[in-house]
Amino acid sequence: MNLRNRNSSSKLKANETSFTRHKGLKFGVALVAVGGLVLTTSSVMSSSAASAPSGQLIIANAEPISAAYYDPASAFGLVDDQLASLVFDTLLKLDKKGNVSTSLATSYKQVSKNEVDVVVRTGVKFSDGSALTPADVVASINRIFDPKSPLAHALLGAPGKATASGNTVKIVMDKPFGPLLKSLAEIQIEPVADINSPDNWKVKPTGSGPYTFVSNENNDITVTANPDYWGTQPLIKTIILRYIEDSQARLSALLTGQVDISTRVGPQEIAAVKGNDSIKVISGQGPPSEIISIWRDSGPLKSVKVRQALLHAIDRDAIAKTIQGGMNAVPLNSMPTNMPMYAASSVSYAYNPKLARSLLKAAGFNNNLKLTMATSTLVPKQTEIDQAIVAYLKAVGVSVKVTQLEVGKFRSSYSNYDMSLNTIATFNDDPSFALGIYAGGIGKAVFGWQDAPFDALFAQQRDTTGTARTTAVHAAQNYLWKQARTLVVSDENWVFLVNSRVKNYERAPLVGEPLITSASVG
Amino acid sequence: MKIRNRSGALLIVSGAAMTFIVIGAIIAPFFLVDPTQIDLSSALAPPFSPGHFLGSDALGRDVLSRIASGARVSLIVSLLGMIGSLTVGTIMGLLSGANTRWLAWLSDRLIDIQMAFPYILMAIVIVSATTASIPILILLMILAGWPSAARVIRSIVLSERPKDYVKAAEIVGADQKRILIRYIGPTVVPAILTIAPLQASAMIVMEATLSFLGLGVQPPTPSWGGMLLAGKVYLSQAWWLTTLPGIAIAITCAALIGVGEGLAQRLRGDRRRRVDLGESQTLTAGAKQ
Amino acid sequence: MRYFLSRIMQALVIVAGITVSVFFILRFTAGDPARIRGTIFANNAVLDTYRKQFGTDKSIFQQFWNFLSGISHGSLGDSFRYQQPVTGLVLPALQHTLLLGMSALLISVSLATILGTLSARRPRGFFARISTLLAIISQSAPLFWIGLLLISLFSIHLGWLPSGGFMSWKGLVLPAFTLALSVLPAEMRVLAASVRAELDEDYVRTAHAFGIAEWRIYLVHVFRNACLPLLTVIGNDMGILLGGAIVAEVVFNFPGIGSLALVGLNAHDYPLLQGVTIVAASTFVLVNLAVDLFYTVINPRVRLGALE
Repeated sequence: MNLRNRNSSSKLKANETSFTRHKGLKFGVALVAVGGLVLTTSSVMSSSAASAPSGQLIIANAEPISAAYYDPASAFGLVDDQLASLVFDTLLKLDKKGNVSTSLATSYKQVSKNEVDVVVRTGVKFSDGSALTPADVVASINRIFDPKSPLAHALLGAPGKATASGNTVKIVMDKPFGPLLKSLAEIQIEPVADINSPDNWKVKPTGSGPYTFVSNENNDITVTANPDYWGTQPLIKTIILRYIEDSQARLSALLTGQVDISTRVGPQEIAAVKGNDSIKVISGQGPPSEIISIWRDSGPLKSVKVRQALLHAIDRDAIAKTIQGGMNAVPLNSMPTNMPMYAASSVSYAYNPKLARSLLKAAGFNNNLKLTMATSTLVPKQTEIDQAIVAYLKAVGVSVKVTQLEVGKFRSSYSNYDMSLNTIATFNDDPSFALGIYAGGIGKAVFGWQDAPFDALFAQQRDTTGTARTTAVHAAQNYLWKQARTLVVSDENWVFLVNSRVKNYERAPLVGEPLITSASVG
Repeated sequence: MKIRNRSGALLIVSGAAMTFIVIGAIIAPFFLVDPTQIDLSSALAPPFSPGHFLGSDALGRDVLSRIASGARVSLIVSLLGMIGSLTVGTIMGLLSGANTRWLAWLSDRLIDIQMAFPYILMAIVIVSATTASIPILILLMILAGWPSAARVIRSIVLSERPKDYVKAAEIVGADQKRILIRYIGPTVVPAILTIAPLQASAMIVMEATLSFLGLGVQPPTPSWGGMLLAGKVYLSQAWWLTTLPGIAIAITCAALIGVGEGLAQRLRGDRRRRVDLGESQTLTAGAKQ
Repeated sequence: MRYFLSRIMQALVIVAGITVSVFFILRFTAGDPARIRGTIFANNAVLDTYRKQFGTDKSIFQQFWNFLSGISHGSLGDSFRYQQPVTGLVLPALQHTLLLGMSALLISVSLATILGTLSARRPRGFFARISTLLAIISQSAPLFWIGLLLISLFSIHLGWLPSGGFMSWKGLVLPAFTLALSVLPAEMRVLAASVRAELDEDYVRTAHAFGIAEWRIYLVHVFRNACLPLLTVIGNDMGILLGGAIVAEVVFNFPGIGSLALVGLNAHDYPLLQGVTIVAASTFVLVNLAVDLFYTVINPRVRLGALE
């Protein structure tokens, strides 16, 4: 039944056009007109003024944040460093190539071998509105000199003191310290108030950096661009650090566009995005890092001939190519290939099982060398690498007894086994961090090795600054290499997968992401 | 008569399959390539590649050879585990049927507690307290399998108890131990024989599961579960690494179950005695998780 | 009533026993968590700071006392790895695992009902054969292997479902289905047997004679009586499901207590492992208790203390 409402006539009244009649249409036109006006105005405004940060970037990590506090000096893992690098400032910074330049400091000067003076920028504010003063800088640095500080390794425990006079902060080391400038690119500046009440860090980090901490919930850490940042405004407004544990899930999140960047990927993921134009593979832009097999200096491994024999028995190139999918370079010296002042040695320890056998024989072992190995799942592809090593050694008459430990026990059991695989990730690209594991107390703890000549060489490069340092670094790394101190399996190349909608993504050779301020999305 | 033939057929076929598998596991490794021999240049080769009939794994090791060697480990571990589990289970089951109240109550409670506790968690705690190794693995098998064996034995004992011949023995003055072993004992034996293959089958699955979680047989010793664990990463590139060992497990278990079922049917047919198997699932319930 | 109380007491004793033994086992055998936390460069002063933070610098009995007093406040300690209260990690994980278990139960009971009834109607028919096949597969093929195959098919080749994680309800389908397969055969068998038994009963023949529609007979009469044995099996299944869930979680990377337990094991994070074990065991004990008590309520024969 057709009920027509006779009261609303469908005929036009006088003075009405069909346009004016329809209220909806009128409203719509008005809306479009206003909208157009707004758009043109804003685009004019934005093109003339500096573009405000826009867009959102989501970074997928394989791990959650590690530290209980948001104290950057307690930063323990990847995510901690990511967050600290976004929220805090450092006095100096590293560019993509690892060159030092100013950041929070307006200038710096190596006054003498022991001392670096920096001039602290004025007018910088922390995210809570308080002003950043040289006192904050001094306090932040001095706490690192405390040997109990977890970040003490940034200064390798070398003693010193920072003092302020006016706007200049003098950092005076007791002895010359080669890694000082790089360390200053890593030590974050925090408010004295937080240093004195560390419980503040249970709530949130307060820094002066390009981003401000917003929240940490449900596996997402959110930061937003700091409008009062003293430096160039970041181009991306919001960054989210997202924890996705499963590698398959991370990969599909990246492929479906749910996240923009996937960090620390392995050969499986790289193979999965081959030929995919919307995903870029960013390789070789991480902190120098390497995979080594820790060889304890005891028993048969005390003999140089034995160690050299073992190195010749293992085909490192095949391991890098097959097991690691070709993503890692194989160093020809004791440091990662992308460590500054790395120099390939003339001695290559090429794969040569026959030579290995004869060296073993010369050392007095004829198919009767027995070694022990601890294995775990700490290092990527560790099971396969360890099994490959065992098989290679078996082929030259060395039998290896393998014990499987879970990660925690593994990390505290190096002294009980002849061989244990490990990754040495340096926090920034200074040679001292790669060479330091062999020196002094650390060398003793890790390798059971204490060697005065090497300690001298290590001290030499640590205590030299400037260009003279290169010779010292070469001497130290060659010393280790020539005596086949341990097995350096390969570099550990940090590879990142980045969606092509992210433009200008660059990394400094650090763990954190300070250069992300020049990246943009969309 | 038809029934007997069918049960006979099942028993024969499964028995033959099992024999073949066992003989293969013992002999084949002598004819095949060394399962721990790596060859990085032919890693991840698909089946029917030259030199690798069933393909090769991430380190270039031959899959066929590893499956054959893994069979050895799986069969030995399950055999020992089964023997241990049946021994403990029979003792506990007999005790549950004993006349002494507290003994029966104690073994009942132990059975209940065991079955209440999730077996994998127990395995995780025990492995974290000790280490992952084959003896520990066998221990875990025994711990997981004995409750279901005990339950079956207990129900038999409880149903035999009220019978005349037992009462007669009691009147004559036979003590508990004698009754349990000499009188009720023989009734229990066929049940044990029938449960045995089912327990073994469940233990093969258990070993694979524990090795898959990293709690069982450790590399480089080849094991079926370990092969599946290693192959999981290559699921999209190398399907044969996860499919083939699993098929080996499935066939072996199916054969064992066939033997068990065939025996059960045989016994049912022969003696007209209800061998209480419960539900096969409950039997393996404690074991299978 | 006495039965109820004694069962509850039993349950409490079991939980207490598990708590104490897990605590001491883990503490005595663990490595030094401070060493694990620290970088390879960490010196002793740093390690001592960690030890203080973790409370591992105190005697074991002091630690146990702290742990117990913590429990009375509802705290299970702090995880070394995640640096968060363990309760905050375990409870959401428990929810996920329970969700997984319940979904699997739902799927399996539904399938069991349908397949079981259909195979009871025609014992030699198509569905009966499918049931037998499923039973064999589920008993001979390990749960995790079936899971891997399903991932291979539905996730990698067909791309219909995610291979892991729990981002959306889709992430629940494969693990729940795999888990359901592990308990399906027993349920089917029991249901088929009891339905068949019911079908032989006089009242069914009478109902047929009266001309009542077959579907009505099944729905209204047969099921009501056939349900009881199924409930027993379900009681059993709870344990199997919650245990199997742990394995399924590893295969599908599902964020439940199984995954958490393995993280605890691998990271040597014994507050976490301990917390997970205690909570999981208590849950199982509770569930079993509930099922037992429920069963005694509905089955008067048990209540009256007759044969088990």
